[in-house]
Amino acid sequence: MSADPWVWAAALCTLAVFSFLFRDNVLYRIAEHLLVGVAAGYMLVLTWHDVLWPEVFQPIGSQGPGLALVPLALSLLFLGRLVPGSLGHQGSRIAVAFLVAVSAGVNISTQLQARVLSQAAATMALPATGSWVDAFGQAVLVLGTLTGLSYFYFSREHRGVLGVSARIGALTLMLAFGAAFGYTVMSRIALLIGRVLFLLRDWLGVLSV
Amino acid sequence: MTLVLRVVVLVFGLFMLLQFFLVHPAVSWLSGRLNQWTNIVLGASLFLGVVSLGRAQVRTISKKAAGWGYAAVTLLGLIVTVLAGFIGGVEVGGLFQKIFDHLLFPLEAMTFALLAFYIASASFRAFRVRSVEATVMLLAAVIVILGRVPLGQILGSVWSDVARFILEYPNAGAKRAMTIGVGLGAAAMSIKVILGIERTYLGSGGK
Amino acid sequence: MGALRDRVAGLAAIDRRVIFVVIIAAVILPFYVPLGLKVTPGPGSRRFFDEVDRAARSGRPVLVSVDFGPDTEAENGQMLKGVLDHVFGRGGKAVVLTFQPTGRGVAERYLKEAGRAKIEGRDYVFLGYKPSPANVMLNMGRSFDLDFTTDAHGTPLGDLPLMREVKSYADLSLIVAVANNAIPRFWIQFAVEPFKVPLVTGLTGTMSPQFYPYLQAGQTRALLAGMQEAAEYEALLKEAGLASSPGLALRGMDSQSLAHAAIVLFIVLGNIGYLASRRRKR
Repeated sequence: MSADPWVWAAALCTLAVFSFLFRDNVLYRIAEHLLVGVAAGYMLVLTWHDVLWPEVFQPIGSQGPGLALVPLALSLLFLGRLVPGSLGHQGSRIAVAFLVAVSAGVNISTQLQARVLSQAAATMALPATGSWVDAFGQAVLVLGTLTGLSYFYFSREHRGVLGVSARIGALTLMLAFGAAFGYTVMSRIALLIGRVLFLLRDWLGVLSV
Repeated sequence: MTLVLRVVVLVFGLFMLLQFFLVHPAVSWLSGRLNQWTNIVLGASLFLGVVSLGRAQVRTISKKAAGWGYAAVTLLGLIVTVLAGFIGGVEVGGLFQKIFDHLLFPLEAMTFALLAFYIASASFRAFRVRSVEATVMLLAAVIVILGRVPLGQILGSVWSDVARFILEYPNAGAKRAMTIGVGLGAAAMSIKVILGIERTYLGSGGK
Repeated sequence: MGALRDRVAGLAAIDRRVIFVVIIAAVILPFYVPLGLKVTPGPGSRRFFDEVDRAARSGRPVLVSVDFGPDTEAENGQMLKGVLDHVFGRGGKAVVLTFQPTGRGVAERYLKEAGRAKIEGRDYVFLGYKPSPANVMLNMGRSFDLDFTTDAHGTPLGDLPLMREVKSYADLSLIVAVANNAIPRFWIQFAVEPFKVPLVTGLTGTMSPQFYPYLQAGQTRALLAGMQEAAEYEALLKEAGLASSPGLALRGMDSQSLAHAAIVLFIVLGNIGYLASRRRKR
């Protein structure tokens, strides 16, 4: 069993959260609220240490006021939301507008390129393969893409050819969701394995791996 | 004010779109700065979130509202972590890193590890052969659950081969359909934002 | 016959506490009674290994994006450990960063272990955390020092020998994104497509299915999907003599297998009970 008080703290935190499995209780609530507080504090410190200090305040301090004043002004405008009254709120909208504008601008062509054009090109230009299974798979891939797209086309009623296509698309989507669920199960079990290893090996010392 | 904001969005949005097509050092310089400033302002927005959280806890405690004891725990965690980071520094071995390793880490890890139990329970309850679609989904899930672990290879390599086939072909096709749809939607939304057609991000005064 | 059907129908209503106990037992038991199931690397993990190997031997540094936190450390942690062992073991160099706050603490922890025999600043650099992936990724295509003036410890980039070699993506051999979220998609959108820099991804099981279209399109050259492929990668590293310590992903596969078998058994039992109760109603 570990004698390190920090390992004990970690173990108690783990068990407090684990207790939720039996029912909601005070220990779990305390652990949950502690997580929120510590995570928020962690994020705040890192944002200062890795972003605001080296990119804004340190340059202003060492090189004098310059371009760094611009993001400082925008940041202060953003924080105007904390100031009661409409003036702070109006100022923060300028910062929001700036953020939204830059994000929207960089997104248009990159989204179209990465998510639409490249994906469409990859569907059309499939690599040659010597295997019948892979060839069949590629046909399934193209069919799945086209019928999946037809399923999400809601401007016309799903009848006739569109109806058949949408139904095949729905079945392909179900295959995909089933596969995704299977992978999610693997993912969640892996997380539990990690915690069990910590409790048995690092805390209780009853397992050597 | 709304007109000013719409002009801000139009100018900066158009510039950031066109910067991919205009090859000039000045354009490159300005777009680099705008990217940098966006990163910084986003950092400030995280600051805002944390400060708001702190204020909400203080309000709950001062009014002795329901759950004020828990709010005190949140606030204590926040203050201690912030002080540890600002006074002791963020380097490995310090109190700040210890709080991360021995409090934040196990709390967050176990919160998500609990999901293993709930997903097992949900699989049992929800996966029923009620319809053709449900059966297809069930079969795909069972094949992947068994095929993507070494157990599948014991049962026969066909399990892992079929699991891989499902993931690489029908799954990829269906996900590609969603990816293309989302890509088109996101691009369309961005265009609407830049042109001022979509203004919900401005809040209630956006009209 | 009716009584038997009632009993069978009852299988559809197994108490969830039974399920919880079986799952925890299925996870713990194989650590004490190993099943000895062999992990055979498949094409996915081999492709990942080959890409990282090629990059590590190329003489140009690898960029490692650590975009997961404690929530999925059990899955992604082994991938990150493997990648760092692989790169350092081949004499390669690494530039590490994160777009997730909790990724910073995780990256520090793994770098401290993997980089024990290495010199920070010369063999690897940790650039720390930035909140805006899109904008930073676009800027890194032009110059790293647009958004990074110092490393995570406050040392100016100009004072770091490795960062004198790395000015933009053109100086990198590969980007390795280990994540539990959509940040690899940002890498594809803002680095791979505009700047044609090669990318490989290590993802949790939950995120992996979404990235198969990108894998098929070549936008990510390889995909390490979930704990199974993390274990396969560990097996390949062990085979190549590059694993610095026993891999936990490999060790956990017995527990993974037994738990999966238990879940499938519950699904089958639940459906037997469901079909029996449907017949009873008729």
